[in-house]
Order: sequence, then structure tokens, then C-alpha cells
Amino acid sequence: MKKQTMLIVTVRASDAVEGCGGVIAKYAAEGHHVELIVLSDAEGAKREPLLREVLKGLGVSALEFADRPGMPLEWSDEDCEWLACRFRSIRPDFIVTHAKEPDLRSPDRGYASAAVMKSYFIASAAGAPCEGLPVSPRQTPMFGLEPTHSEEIGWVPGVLIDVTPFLDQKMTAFDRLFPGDEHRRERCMEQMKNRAVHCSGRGGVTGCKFAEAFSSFGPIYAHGHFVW
Amino acid sequence: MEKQKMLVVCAHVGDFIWRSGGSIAKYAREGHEVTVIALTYGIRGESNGYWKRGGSSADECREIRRREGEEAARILGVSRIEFWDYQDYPLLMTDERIERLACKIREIRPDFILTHDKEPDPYNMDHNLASDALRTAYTIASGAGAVCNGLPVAPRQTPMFGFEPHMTEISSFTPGIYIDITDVFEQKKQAMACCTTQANMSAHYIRKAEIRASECANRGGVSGCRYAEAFSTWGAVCMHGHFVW
Repeated sequence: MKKQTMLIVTVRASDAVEGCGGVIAKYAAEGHHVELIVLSDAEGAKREPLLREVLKGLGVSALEFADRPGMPLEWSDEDCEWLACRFRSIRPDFIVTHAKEPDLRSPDRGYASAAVMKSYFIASAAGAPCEGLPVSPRQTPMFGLEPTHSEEIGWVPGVLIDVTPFLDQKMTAFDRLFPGDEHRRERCMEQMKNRAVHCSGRGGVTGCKFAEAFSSFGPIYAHGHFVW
Repeated sequence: MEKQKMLVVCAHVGDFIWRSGGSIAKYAREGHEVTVIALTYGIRGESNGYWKRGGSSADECREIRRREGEEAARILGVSRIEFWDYQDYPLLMTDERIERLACKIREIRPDFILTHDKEPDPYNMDHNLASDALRTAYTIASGAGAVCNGLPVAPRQTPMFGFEPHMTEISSFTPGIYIDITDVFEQKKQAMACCTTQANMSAHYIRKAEIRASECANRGGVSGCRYAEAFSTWGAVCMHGHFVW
């Protein structure tokens, strides 16, 4: 497998750990390049050193904080132009962000996803200046993190990824960000266990004990076959 | 890539040609095993070209449709085609027929199945009847307590993909996967040309393949794709373990 660049864009840095920490560790272990852009300042400047340390430990090689006001997320047209330039500069093979369905309980997540899509739209327009950076391809695939209440927002899993070997790495990072938050930890674990049941029992991935699920924003083109 | 078994179940003989002929030819060319089950010949409702001829009869229609189906299957490289010769318009899938299909699934043990989409097609209820019957049959095949002539139980997770219907939007079809069929498109054209009883279909399905190819190339990054077929996906992708592959 060719080395890829995975770009994650989330409201908070902790969203990436909770939603796709296992996949970050997996991609990093396989030698892929993983970058994270955090849109809001909701976690506070004081936490930044800890977040940097934890994300780096998980395998994120570049972490940027856009530091826009959160709750609600304020993301202006200029911010979209800025993010478009970042897309052109990073040239990711694929992007992971929040689900594209509006999230009633965490509206910032829906706003972030919409901002990513709008910014990508700009990045792929040859006539948008973006500091003279080469235009982005039209076809970069995007995937949505599993929300806390999937059915409520109409989220549907499109890809399940076995993260069993990377569970410890993920939960070590998780515990540093949410020490003592047993409820949150349990929910995170239970969700991964349930997805693993789907991944092994319905997906035929034997030995899968923990999995992370993502929605896919578009159809599959690149493989050229049905089952792979 | 490991050799796989592809099972195609269609309502009428022509369906496997228009809706999946390119993918069948591609898999066959790569050495995979392709089985086609045509539940009906489409004598009543899908042979309108034939019924315009003089002196038409159901028996002659059956013969012609069988020859057309066999010839198309030969051109595409199908390993085995079965004609179950049920009545069409409407297709009637009794419990017994569904059990027969379940046993057939256990016998073949396909790696994946192509059939009509699971969303309602308001223009062709046979397509939905076939799709529903296939899913019921698969449920039976994967139930360890179902008898099915003592054949080993089918796994729960066999992936299924839905054909693109004639009118996509009104049938709520959403493409989930595109297959580039550029290299085998001549075979698909020849196979479609076999179907003299539905001669009006070819041009439409050539255009569809061109449109799907432009999406596959420009939105999917499959450069050089000039012809493609689209299918819906019914389940999440688990097997690959990565996002982009």
C-alpha cells in the first residue's frame, strides 16, 4: 500500500482521540502521514501543550489549532478560504471529519463538517487564488466520525476499521485527556466493542475485538472490485 | 487477489446483461467463477420486440430468450447460467421457490451477490420481488437450523450489491460502488446485441456506462475509465481495514 496522507479536521483535538484514535495509531504505525486541524478554541490555550503531547504520542505528525471561537463555532468566509489553502498545501489522500448530518446535541460538529466541505469546494476550484497553491483534486474521499447519537442524526456506518491492536494506545491517550471520566470511557469502549461485533459477525473480520466506524460521504470508485 | 465466486440473481434474462454485464465479464476475465440465475425468461413483459413479430407464441419466445441468454452468458464468460422459468409480470416467488434459492446459495457459497436494488422500483415490481426473495432466501441459507438438503450453512456476512435500475432517481437508487469496465466493454456491447427481443435497450445502457465512467474518472480518480457500472451497497465495508484502497 502506497504511503498516504490522512487529514483529520475536528472541533476539538479530543474528538480525534475519541472518534478515531485507534485509526490514527494504525495509520501512523503503518508509516502513513497523519495531520490534524482543530477548528475551535473550546479546549482552551492552557490545554494545548497536553493535547500536542498526547496527539503526537498517538502518531499525529502535524497539529494545527485554528483557534476560532466555539459553542457555537464561528467560522467565517475568510476562515473557509484559509482552510482551503491548508487543503491545497497538505494535499491529503483522504479527510476524516465530523458526520455531515446536522448534530442537534453538538451543533459545532455539524458546522465543522459543513465548513470542511465548503472549504474543500473552494480548494478544488481552479480559479480560487489560495496563495497560488496548486488546485486540489475533485475526488478526495471524506469520512465522518461516529456521533454520540447515531440514529438521532441519521448517521449510517459506511466503513468499519479494526483497531484491536491499537486499543491500548488509544485508551492511554484517552485517559490522559479525560482522567476519571468513567462514564465517557465506558461509552467509548462499548461503542468500539459493538462495532467490532458488526465488523467480525457481519463483516467477516475474524479476531476483531474493537473497531471504529465512519460514514462515507461518497461512493467507492478506486478499488475496481466488489469485495477486497 | 484470491479467486472469488460471484452470484448474480436477476428477475428476467436480460437484466444480468444491462445491469452487470461489464462486471461479469471483468470478473470472468480475471479467472473468477460467475454463476447467473435468471428467475424468468421475461416472456410476458420483457419480450415486447418478439411479440410484435407475426405468429408469435410463448413456447417460441421461451426458446429465443433462452438462446439469447445463453449466447450473452457465453460472450461474457459466465461459468454457469440457470433459467428457472417462473412466470414474470408479476414474478411469483412462493415459499418453495425461496427455499430452492436458499439451497442454491448454500450450494454455490458465493463470496458476494449481485441482484436488483432493495429500494422500490415503481416501474418494475419484478425487480423488487426478486430482490426481496433473494434476501429472504439468504436469511434462510444463513440459519443453521434450516435444512436445505443438509448443505453447510451459509455465512452471515456475504456482501450484496444492488443493480442500477432503469430510472435511478425515481427508484431511490444511490450508487455505492463503481466498477470500471472499460477493458471489457466490447464484450458487454456484443452481449447486449444478442438480445434481439429487447433491441431498444443497448443504446441507453451504453450512455449510462459513459455517464458512470465520467463520475468514476472525475470524482473517483480512476483515470482512463471510459465505461463503468454502478451498484448500491447494502452494508458497511469491513474487510479492507482502511479508508482508501
